[in-house]
Amino acid sequence: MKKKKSFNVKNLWQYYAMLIPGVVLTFIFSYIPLYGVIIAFEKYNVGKGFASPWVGLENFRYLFSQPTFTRTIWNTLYISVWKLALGIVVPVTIAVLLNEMRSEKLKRFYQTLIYIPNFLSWIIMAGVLMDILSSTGAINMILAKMGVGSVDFLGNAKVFPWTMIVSDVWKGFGYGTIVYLAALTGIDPSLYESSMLDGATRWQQIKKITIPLLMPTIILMTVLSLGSVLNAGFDQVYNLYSPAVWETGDIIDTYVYRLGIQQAQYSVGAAVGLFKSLVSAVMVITSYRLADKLAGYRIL
Amino acid sequence: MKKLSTIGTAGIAALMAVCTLTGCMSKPTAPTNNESGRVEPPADIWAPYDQTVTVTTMGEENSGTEFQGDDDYGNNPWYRAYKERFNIDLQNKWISNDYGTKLNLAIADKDIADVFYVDSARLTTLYEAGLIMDLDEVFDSYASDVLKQYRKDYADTWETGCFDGKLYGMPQMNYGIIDQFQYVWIRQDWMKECGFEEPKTMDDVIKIATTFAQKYGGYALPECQTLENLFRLALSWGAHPGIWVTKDDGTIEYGTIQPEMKEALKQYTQWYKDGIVNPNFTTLNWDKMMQGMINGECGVIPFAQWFGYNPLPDLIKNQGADAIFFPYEIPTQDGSPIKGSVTFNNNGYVVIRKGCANPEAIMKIVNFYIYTVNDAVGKESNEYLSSLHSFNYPNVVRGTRIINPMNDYNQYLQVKDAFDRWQAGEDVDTSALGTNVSKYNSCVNWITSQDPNGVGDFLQQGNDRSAYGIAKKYVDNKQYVQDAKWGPDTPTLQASGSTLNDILIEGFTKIIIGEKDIDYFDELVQQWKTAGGDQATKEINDTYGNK
Repeated sequence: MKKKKSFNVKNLWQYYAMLIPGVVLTFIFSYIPLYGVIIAFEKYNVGKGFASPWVGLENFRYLFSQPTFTRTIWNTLYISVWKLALGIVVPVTIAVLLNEMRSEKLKRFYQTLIYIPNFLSWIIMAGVLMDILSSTGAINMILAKMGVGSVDFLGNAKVFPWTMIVSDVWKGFGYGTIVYLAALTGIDPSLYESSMLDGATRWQQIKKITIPLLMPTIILMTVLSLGSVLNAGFDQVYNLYSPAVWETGDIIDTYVYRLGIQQAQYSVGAAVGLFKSLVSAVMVITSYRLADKLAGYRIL
Repeated sequence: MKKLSTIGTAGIAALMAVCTLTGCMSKPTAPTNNESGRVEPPADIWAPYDQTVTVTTMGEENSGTEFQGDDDYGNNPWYRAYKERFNIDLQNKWISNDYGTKLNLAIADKDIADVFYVDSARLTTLYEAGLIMDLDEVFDSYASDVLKQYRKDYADTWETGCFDGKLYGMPQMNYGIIDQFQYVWIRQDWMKECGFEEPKTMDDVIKIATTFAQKYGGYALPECQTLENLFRLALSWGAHPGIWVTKDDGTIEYGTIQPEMKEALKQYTQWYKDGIVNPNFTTLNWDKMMQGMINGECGVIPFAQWFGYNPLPDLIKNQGADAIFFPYEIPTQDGSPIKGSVTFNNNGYVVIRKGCANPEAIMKIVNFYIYTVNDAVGKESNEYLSSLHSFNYPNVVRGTRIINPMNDYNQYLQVKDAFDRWQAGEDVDTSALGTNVSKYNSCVNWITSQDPNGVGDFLQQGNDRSAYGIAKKYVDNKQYVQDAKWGPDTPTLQASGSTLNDILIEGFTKIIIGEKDIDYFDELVQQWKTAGGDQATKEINDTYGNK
């Protein structure tokens, strides 16, 4: 009954034609600017533009010779890997829990409630967090009532990365939850019905049906986010950090901001951008291969 | 039906493609540079042109300027004066609140105005890119005598605007070293209530500060992430952080890594431990620290001469006029006279675009500004001069003005003299004050109506208790250490100066909050040296040493 799909241009030319704007835009805005990468190998002078003197790998050498740069790579990875991991575990857990809820009303209420922080920008959130987390703020008041000593969330270098991780997960998990909830509604209810007839408990249903069927979405989200593993959240860290926590909280982006923008070292900034892109490309390709191999999952 | 939908989709596709293409093909409108030929200038440098000359400029938005009536950046007393006096039509290519970024874009587009101001890094960029003109010829023919005298008197500063001995950027100078000193500002109503006298030692300062904190709440000493107040108080130990100091053997070293700084840091760390320094300082930026001051959390702050302009007016609106702060000298450890730090200070460079048709028109504009400041009293009406110099209007011509470095010093003498006579009940002839009349009026307004907008001028210049009153003594007695780097940054400092400072600030913070002990200071100095500090020191010695 099914006719074999034919991909010849003659039948489908209008669809190809509709692709043109997208292709043209991508070419103009994503491929042509790639040429600008050459300033990473130059001593860039705004007045001379791309014709600035060529210095080869000097900018990279300079960057890695800075004693405070290498720690930013480690800090970035630490913060962003934890954000990634918790950014999957927490929304999946919450989505499954919400899905099990009997009251539709309550479910929607929680869904909305946890989604709200996602809409606030880090500029605003930073102001709020500074007040809440200060030594006289709400959290430390509660800790004091509980008999725990006060914690310097934003000034203690040991605590700071976790302040970043937890607050970021708290702010963003509402969005992830909605994605996973959407995936959950796509699961065929007959699977649950038949498992019930076989005497499966709720827990068994979650373990044997819900999670396995969620796996493709989880892997997709992970692969997509791995590309940005070297972005540990500039907006958030920049608005909350201070010299006291640079040791553990200074990430690549904030470091480059101080180095490249404030001192107008555009070439070094471009060098870091290139470095980050290369690492991200490797991460995306590897994680995609791994997903294919381990979970048999492919995007195309 | 099938046919129709095909045509439909094809139509949409075509439409989208066309939109995209036209979108990227529409050319930006051509720049409206004035390339219309040269207008012959008159022989007398003060005479007007026969034909109107149009000159373009680019400028920075200034929040301090209070435009009167219909005035704006393109139409104000200065621009009108250029038109009336010289028949020069000065036009703004753009005015931006993000001048640096916008200027970089303009340079990258090679679409710059005839005249504008730049910092020393961009001066080099523009010179290397060949976008600005050699000013020697036009300067020799059209600079006024006073401007030429500036160049002679401040030759070392003018040297920094030259490449290969040719002048490319005219330094805009500064208001003089009198505005660079540091003070301890103390809240007056609390001081009276507690019965304190002027502090003679650092212990006195701390005693006043801690007493305030006990009695009125808050903390004794404010501080923020950048450790500004530590660096100000460090003068008390004879340290000069932030400037380059000449050692006894004639070599130049960085002030922030000297043993005196270690001593200051040691005491400061103790103060932090004792709860004297605001325990939350690591999370506060400058604005947040000032917010605390405005809320009345603190009655003592080490600060520069402009505390009366920001944040004091807000503080007074919030806490009442009695909450005024007065500046005091920072006491030294051994009771000897304090020495301030004085840096090379130049507000920027006036540059002229290569290919500008009438560069002498710009010299006329520059000459005129200097004339209104220096020689116009008596020649022009007082109303006229004050229309140019009130409401912060001089900031509108930020790109074309050159300041007299004796400006603030002379101004202080005049304003204080007039104000003293007014307070003694004498009649004051304000017409002799020229452009300084607005400062004098602010001081009078503060006393008569406690207008918070006048408190800045009052505390800067108004009486013996003023910041300039103290600073004049420093200047007259040469009570300061001059930055050995008397000029722009060397290449290493330009490239990584702030990164190097970051290493020290981070390390000092660790010491203060007790994460590291004071001997970490020496380790830190080593870190600073290997990260580029040694290279910077070498460059500074090569460029500025043994002169």
